[in-house]
Amino acid sequence: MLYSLLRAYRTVAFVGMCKNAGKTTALNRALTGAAEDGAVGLTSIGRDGERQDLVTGTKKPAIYVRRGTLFATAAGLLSACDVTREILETTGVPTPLGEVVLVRALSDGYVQIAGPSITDALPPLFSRFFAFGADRVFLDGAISRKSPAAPAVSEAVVLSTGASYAADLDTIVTDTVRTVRLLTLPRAEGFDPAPDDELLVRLPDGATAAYPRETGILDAMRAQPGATGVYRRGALTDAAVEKLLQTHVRTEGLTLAVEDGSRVLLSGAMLDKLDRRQITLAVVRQTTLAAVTVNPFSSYGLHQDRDALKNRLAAAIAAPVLDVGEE
Amino acid sequence: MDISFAVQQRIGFRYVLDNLTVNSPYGEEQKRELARFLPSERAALETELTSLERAVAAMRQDKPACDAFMRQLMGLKDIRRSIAALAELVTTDVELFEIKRYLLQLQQIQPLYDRLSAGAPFGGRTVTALPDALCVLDAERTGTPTFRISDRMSAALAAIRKEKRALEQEIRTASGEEKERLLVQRTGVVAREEQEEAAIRRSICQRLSPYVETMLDNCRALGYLDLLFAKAASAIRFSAVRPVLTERTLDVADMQNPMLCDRLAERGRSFTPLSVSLTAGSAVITGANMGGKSVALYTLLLNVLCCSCGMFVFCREARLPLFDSISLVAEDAEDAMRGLSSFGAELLLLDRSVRDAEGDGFSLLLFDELARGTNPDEGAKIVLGTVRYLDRPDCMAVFATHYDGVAAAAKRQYRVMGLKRMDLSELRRELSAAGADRVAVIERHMDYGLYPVEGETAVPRDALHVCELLDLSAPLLDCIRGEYGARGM
Repeated sequence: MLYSLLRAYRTVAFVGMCKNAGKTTALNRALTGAAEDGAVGLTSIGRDGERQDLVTGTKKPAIYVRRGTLFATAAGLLSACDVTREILETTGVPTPLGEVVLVRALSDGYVQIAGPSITDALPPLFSRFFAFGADRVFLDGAISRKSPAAPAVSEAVVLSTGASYAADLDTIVTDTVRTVRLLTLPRAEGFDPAPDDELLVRLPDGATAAYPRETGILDAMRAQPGATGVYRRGALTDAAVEKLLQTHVRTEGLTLAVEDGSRVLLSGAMLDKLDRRQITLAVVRQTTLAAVTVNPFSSYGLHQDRDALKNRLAAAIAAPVLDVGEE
Repeated sequence: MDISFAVQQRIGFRYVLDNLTVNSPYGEEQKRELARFLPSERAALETELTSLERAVAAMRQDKPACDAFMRQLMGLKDIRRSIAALAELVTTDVELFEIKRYLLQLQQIQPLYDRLSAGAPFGGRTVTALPDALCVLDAERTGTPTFRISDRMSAALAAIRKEKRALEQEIRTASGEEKERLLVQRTGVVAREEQEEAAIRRSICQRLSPYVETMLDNCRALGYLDLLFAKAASAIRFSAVRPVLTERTLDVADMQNPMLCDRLAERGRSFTPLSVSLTAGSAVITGANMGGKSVALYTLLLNVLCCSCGMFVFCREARLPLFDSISLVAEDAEDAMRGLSSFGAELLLLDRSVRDAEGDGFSLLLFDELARGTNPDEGAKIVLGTVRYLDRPDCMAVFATHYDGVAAAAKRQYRVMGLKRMDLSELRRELSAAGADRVAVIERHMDYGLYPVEGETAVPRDALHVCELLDLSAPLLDCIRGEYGARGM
């Protein structure tokens, strides 16, 4: 079921709202599905894939791949992988556990994945996967990495959430919906930033004017009173937006654009404020939220009702919501 | 290297090194460890210079082979730790992968190198491909750079893997307790597989251990060749020539300094080549301010260093000796900041250099405006004393100074010409037209050439000219002129 939602994408990132949200279970399901449909490349941002959670000590599932899977992991973790393997290439990308190495699994089995911790190293790595014959690449966005980069480098995202996120259902639902919103921001029309563009202002006639980053959103807006949108490279924080809201610059109908949803580091309160001021958040590089998976079991004992969790999320989210345990 | 990093930078030696483009970690290491040849190592330096000469010729004659050779070097990684692991019979798959890749690279590199060296290896360094070692790692003779412990390496392993695969096939469709049971069973098979693989890795190590020394020799040879060809490329780029080694005389014709050449070129100007002949003993370079005495000194030191490090020199012709010790005494901002007055720091440096030169052997001592930080009367005496003391057969000492009466004590005297031969009235006209950029105009009219002087000892008096040309305020200039008059100059 899950894989059928992912079939259309060359690169899919798996991110979790928290630890034990069921992300690895979702990844395993997708791997199994994809194995029937060509070769999969698998890596992560940073380390993941231990059988015991290194932080909380709770038991968690390991990643189990099919024969023919290509994976990129730190050389120091290969001894913890039990697949029969062929070393394809060393990448020169360093990790605390050694250089990232490209490997072909010659049997089914468990793997531990620690890929590059720098986002910039991922696209070249994906290219190597494809060069070695992968049909698609799955990226495990390790713990608490939902805000950084994983979605930025992939066509589609699978978000896992569950009872481990919070004790009460309302919080789980509210925060998951907010994360979903950031992952599904609309495309910012009229912006086509070059790699070195830091700050762009969109004018009523559709043209854009470039400013250096130091200018700041507010001053750029002041310089272009009729602006209909602002694009800024890098993370969008409360502090950067606060100034804009405190002034009398007209903001109704304004679009605030970033590279992708992972750059939005705004608090819930700030997001609400933007709504009230009719400011639209948008992204230059859109990813697709392919699915949300839910896990009603909490590793801390506070389980949620399976149907209540799934149904409330399904009502609030446009993307398909699946129960990872049910499939 | 006995020359500090700051001095290497100031004289343009670092610039030359930065332009030595090596392609491999082994070449990088050789470059870091670049050292001077001492007089006792003269024969080795001659060999090195001959190799470099041949490398330059090879680069000119067979550029495609050279380029291909260097591209191969670019692909090298430092795998000496993997080779060391081999010698200790404990390697990982990744280490074996790297060794296999290295052996494949050697297969490519050796024929290229044979073509370049035409049967006479540069510096006696050979590159030896190891096809037999490669066969150990490439059981299936695929020639691909990937590595796996192949089923063909042991019948036992093939059997275990077959069993493992059958189990995995069952696991794919099993569920619940049955799946758990199969997974536990699989763990046992995996353990046996790992055990068998470890035994095979060990046997691979054993079979490869006879090649360990040759593999390491190849690393060293490739590092040497990488640096040699980098030196050759630099020699071609800067039109450097092979120096002739001498006992204790120095003759350089039209010396250049690549760093200064390039910097001047950026400003649309060019470097004035310098020629010097020296024998053991003291020599003095005098000349006006702004005239390039320091540049002459630095350029001399740069070329001496390049020669002694087995590089070609930036001259039309050069005959150079080797030195046991080399020092440059110059006001050093670093020492001044360490709390000593600049004068105190300079004297300590002077003392250290002279003591270094006292030992056996032949020394080069260069002094850039020695004792400029003290009063001219005493400064001149300090310089004169040092010139006299170092005018002896076991060293070459070169002093750039503008103190009077010093040159008489030296064996040789050179002068940077400065503005001396200029038509001053014409220069004044040009200056008034130039407006703000007077310094540039004066620089343009300086003669930076170095000219031997016989007999004459008075230092040229350009300072007043420069004051006038820079159009200091009239009353100030009058006062200064008055002082010249009062002293009868």
